[in-house]
Amino acid sequence: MNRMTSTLESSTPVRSSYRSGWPSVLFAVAVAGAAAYAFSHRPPPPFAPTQVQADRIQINGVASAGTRLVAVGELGRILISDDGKAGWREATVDKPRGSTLTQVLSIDGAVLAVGHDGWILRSEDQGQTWKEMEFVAEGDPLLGLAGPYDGKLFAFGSFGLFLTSTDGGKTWTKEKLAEEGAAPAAAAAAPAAAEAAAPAEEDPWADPFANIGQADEGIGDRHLNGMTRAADGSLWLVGERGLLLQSKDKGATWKDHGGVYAGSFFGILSLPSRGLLAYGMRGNAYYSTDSGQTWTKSRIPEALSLFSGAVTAQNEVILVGASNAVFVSRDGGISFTRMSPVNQKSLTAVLPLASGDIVTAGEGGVELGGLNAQPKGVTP
Amino acid sequence: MSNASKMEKFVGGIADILIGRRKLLAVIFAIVTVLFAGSATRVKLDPGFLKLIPIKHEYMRTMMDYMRDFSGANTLLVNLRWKGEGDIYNKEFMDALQGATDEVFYIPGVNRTKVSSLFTPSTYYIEITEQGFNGEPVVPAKYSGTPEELEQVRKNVALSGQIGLIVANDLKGAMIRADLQDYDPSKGQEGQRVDYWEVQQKLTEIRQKFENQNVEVNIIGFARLLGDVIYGLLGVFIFFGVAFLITMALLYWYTRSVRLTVVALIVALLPVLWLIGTLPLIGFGIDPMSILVPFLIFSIGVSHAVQMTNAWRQEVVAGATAVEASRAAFCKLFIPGAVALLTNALGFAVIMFIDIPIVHELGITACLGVLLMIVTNKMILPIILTRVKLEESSRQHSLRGPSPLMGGLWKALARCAEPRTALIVFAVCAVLLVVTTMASRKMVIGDSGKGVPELRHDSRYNYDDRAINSSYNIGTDVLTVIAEAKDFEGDSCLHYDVVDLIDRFELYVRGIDGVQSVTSVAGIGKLVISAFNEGNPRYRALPRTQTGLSTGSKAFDPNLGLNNESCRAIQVLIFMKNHDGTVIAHAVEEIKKFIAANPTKGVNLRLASGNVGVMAATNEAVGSAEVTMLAAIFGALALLCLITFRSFAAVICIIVPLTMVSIFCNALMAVLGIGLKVATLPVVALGVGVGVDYGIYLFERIQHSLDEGVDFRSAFYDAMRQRGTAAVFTAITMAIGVGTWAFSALKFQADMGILLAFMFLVNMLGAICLLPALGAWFYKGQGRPLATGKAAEVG
Repeated sequence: MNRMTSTLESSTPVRSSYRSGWPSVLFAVAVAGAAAYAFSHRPPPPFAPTQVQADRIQINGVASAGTRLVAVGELGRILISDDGKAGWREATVDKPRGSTLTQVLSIDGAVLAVGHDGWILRSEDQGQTWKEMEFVAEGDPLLGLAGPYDGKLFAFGSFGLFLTSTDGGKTWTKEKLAEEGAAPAAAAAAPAAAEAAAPAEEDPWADPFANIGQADEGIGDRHLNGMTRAADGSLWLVGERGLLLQSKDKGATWKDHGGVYAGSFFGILSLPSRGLLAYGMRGNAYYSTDSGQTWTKSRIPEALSLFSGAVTAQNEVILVGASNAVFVSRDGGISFTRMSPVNQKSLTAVLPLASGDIVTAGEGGVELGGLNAQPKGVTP
Repeated sequence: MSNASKMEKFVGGIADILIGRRKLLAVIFAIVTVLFAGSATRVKLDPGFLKLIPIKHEYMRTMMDYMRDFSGANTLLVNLRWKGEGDIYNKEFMDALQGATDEVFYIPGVNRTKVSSLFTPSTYYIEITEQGFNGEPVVPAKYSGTPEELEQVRKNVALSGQIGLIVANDLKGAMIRADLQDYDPSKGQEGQRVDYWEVQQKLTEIRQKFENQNVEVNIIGFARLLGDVIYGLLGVFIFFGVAFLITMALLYWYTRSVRLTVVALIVALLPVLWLIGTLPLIGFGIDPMSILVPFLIFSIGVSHAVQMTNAWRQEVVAGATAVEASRAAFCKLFIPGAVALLTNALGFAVIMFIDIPIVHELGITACLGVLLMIVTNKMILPIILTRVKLEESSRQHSLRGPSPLMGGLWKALARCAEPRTALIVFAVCAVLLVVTTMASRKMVIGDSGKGVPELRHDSRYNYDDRAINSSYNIGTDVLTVIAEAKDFEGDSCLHYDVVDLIDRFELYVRGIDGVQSVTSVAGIGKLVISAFNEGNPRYRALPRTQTGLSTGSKAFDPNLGLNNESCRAIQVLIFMKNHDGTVIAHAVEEIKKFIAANPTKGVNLRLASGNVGVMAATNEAVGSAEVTMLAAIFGALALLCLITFRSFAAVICIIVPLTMVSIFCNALMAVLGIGLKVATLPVVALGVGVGVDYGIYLFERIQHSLDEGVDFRSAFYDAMRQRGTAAVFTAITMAIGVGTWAFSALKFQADMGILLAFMFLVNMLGAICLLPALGAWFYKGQGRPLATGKAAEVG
């Protein structure tokens, strides 16, 4: 550096000038701006809105109301779909209670839904909006809906809970099931024998039936799971531990056809052949062709509990249940073939549509076309 | 001027002491080196789960509060996969599973009450029959492997609902789950630490013992991961060797002197040795992240050694003796060198804004290393150089001056220092700036992709992870929310308000985009209640009465691991589809919305635990540290430059290129799909802290010339001739040093290596292209050419 200073006459230091340096300042400002933008909060990518997903909610009942599908289930949520395909949305309930809904029924001019805590909802706009008709805090659950049979609607549930309505479900009356004949001795005897097979004491799951099933109650205390009207006009009500009730007087009095099956029935179907089909636990279904006088066990390939059934326009009988089971019978309920893949999820509801599609619903939500096209390829 | 001369006087004073007392100092430094070398032998690997997490983060406090109740994120999965004929129900496989279960049970640190496999008594099957429940252990107590028993096991497994959980969906595998107790608050932090190295050795033994042509063993879990990470680290030493050899070759090519090459390498290694020696003294160990510090220190050491030996060589070639040359080199380089090292240290210090212990250690270690370098490079190196005699061949090489290639390059670069060309530079940079700024917006916080982010996609661990994830229903990405319900009478789970909140929360979370499934006491409780009602799914609802809820009380058993005693705390396990940073952030945000919208008296929903909870906390810590950290480093660097150069123009000339390169770096991360995470966030700070060296060394030289009235272009050209080659050289050697990490088995090291190499190189380019362009306008039309002949040549 000594060399340089010696060769130059003056050594006025060079100083920076902003007047001349404006392009640099401008560029610096641009970089600062870019940096501020680059490092500012980065917006997240778009995500689907958080809402109840039709395949991630337990659905217990499905009905069609006009062109619309209505599905009810977990925590009192109601989903509706105009086309049945992907587009499910939540309906509005004027007073959400959060009680799980167990069944839905479409009647002339209204849709009804029932659920836990004696909750009854009614919609007059094909499931879009719902109003509360009944609610009993800490009440027993309602498990099903049936009717109208001769202008009367029926709602039923646990411990013999039985309600009727004559005004299209607006008001409900609690009724006690009156027995027509003698006490059902056969049904009560069956569980007693089974106690011997009860599991070992150290089994942490072993005690449940110590509380229930011991007492010899009447028909009025058992859980009621399903109802139908037979071709002969008599009403049938099925339930816990083989309960199989028939009423020939529009529900005023009931007669138990116990002894057919020791386990619980989850439902009963009125068949196009004028017969009846009652279905229940572990692959047990029984059909009757003589107005319920005698019952024969249907052939079902797997010991899976059956929670719902329906008859299609083609007179196929469908039963759905545990492990995603969809069993179809083309011979009026005598023998069934499995039409669905195995998974861990239970199906709770089935609804054949006029289009030939089938809606299945359960633990894994609601799905359209569950066995659509499949029965055509497989001979039953 | 007076300030500068005072400073020169001060530096000269130090130089006199250093050179005058060089023998005494040499002895002292030799003793210190020996002591550090002795201490360095005691350095230990110190990985640990808690070091990796932001322990002060709200989510992690939740995790720590319930670490004892809930296993947190430290689960170990050992999967045995049958490759032979048929499914797992054969004696050979079952024997292996039984054996492996026993081995896992006895791994030190495993919580023995929580081990589960087909062979543990906790695995039951329950069948709902017409008569009630029928339940037994899945594997009969007297099991001996007969075909009948195997058939029984097959039936029991089907009934147990364990398919997809501990038995593979395709019945081709079964697994053993175990939890490691990382930390037991009651016994103090040191009392109960798991020896991960031992655990992972045990796991390797299990794999070797049971893996054969019919059985494959997949192991995943933090302990296993750590094992693979440690093996990955061993590979690091190979990279160190490679980087060392390349650096050596480049050094020789540059100096043409064996002696200078050896001296530079030794001096660059000294701070590494000193640093490793210091670690045991301050209670630190080496972990997967801090192992990179020695590399970095070596690279920086080489870069400064090159500047020093280069200055020394120029003096010697100009005719000075070794001692005179040492003194002159020290005087010339002490200020810019020390400032550059201080900025490096600053760069390392600000990464401590990331509140994660492992990053703190990285910051402290690196900071320390750089500060040690001020002693080794600025003091020991000049002392050593006083004893070096430059080889004649090197002297001749230096006398020949810069090669025509380099000379031409400098001339071309000097054009950047002309206002007119500067505008072209601005234009090009502006285009780059716009493009990269837009690209950088796509950078994400957190990991992207699948598997564990620490390792590469094709690593054994990620292979095992995929094997397990594809054949079981369980996800390995779990976000846990803990519901505290401390003040309820009796069991909190028997209060409808509590379980109903959990139930509604579960349904809500299932509706969040990115969530796979949810498990909680509410769902299990409903399942149990339904089971008590002949398995009727219509009973899957929570009754509003205590009596009704008590039907489901089997679900509230603390042994299931979903709640602690009396449900004082309940965990909701949320299985995520993946652990992409954006997905996690979205889920957490939606969960917070639920918590805000559903205040429930006596119940407190707290985020978050599980491995995704850890990631959420980490990502948040990283995200919140990003801007703070950058503001701190740029602010500090600007201040430091201002103090050193006393000119805002200088600050702009040095900082603007660095800022641009930081944006480039973000854009590169977005393009390469590298997320901003614990490993990559420090890169910007490190890159800036180290990259500023070029600007400081160059501008220091430029300012000397400017003070003497030389025009800017000539000043820049002169600075480039004196220090440019060294700057380019060091950028290349450092980029190579860290660039070798790109081949590491550890993905985060590879990411860091690529990004750091990029930062080092491009920061150098910024210093030699953009810096002169900015200066050209600030100093336009002032000063005289340095040497008329040369200036004409350039012009």
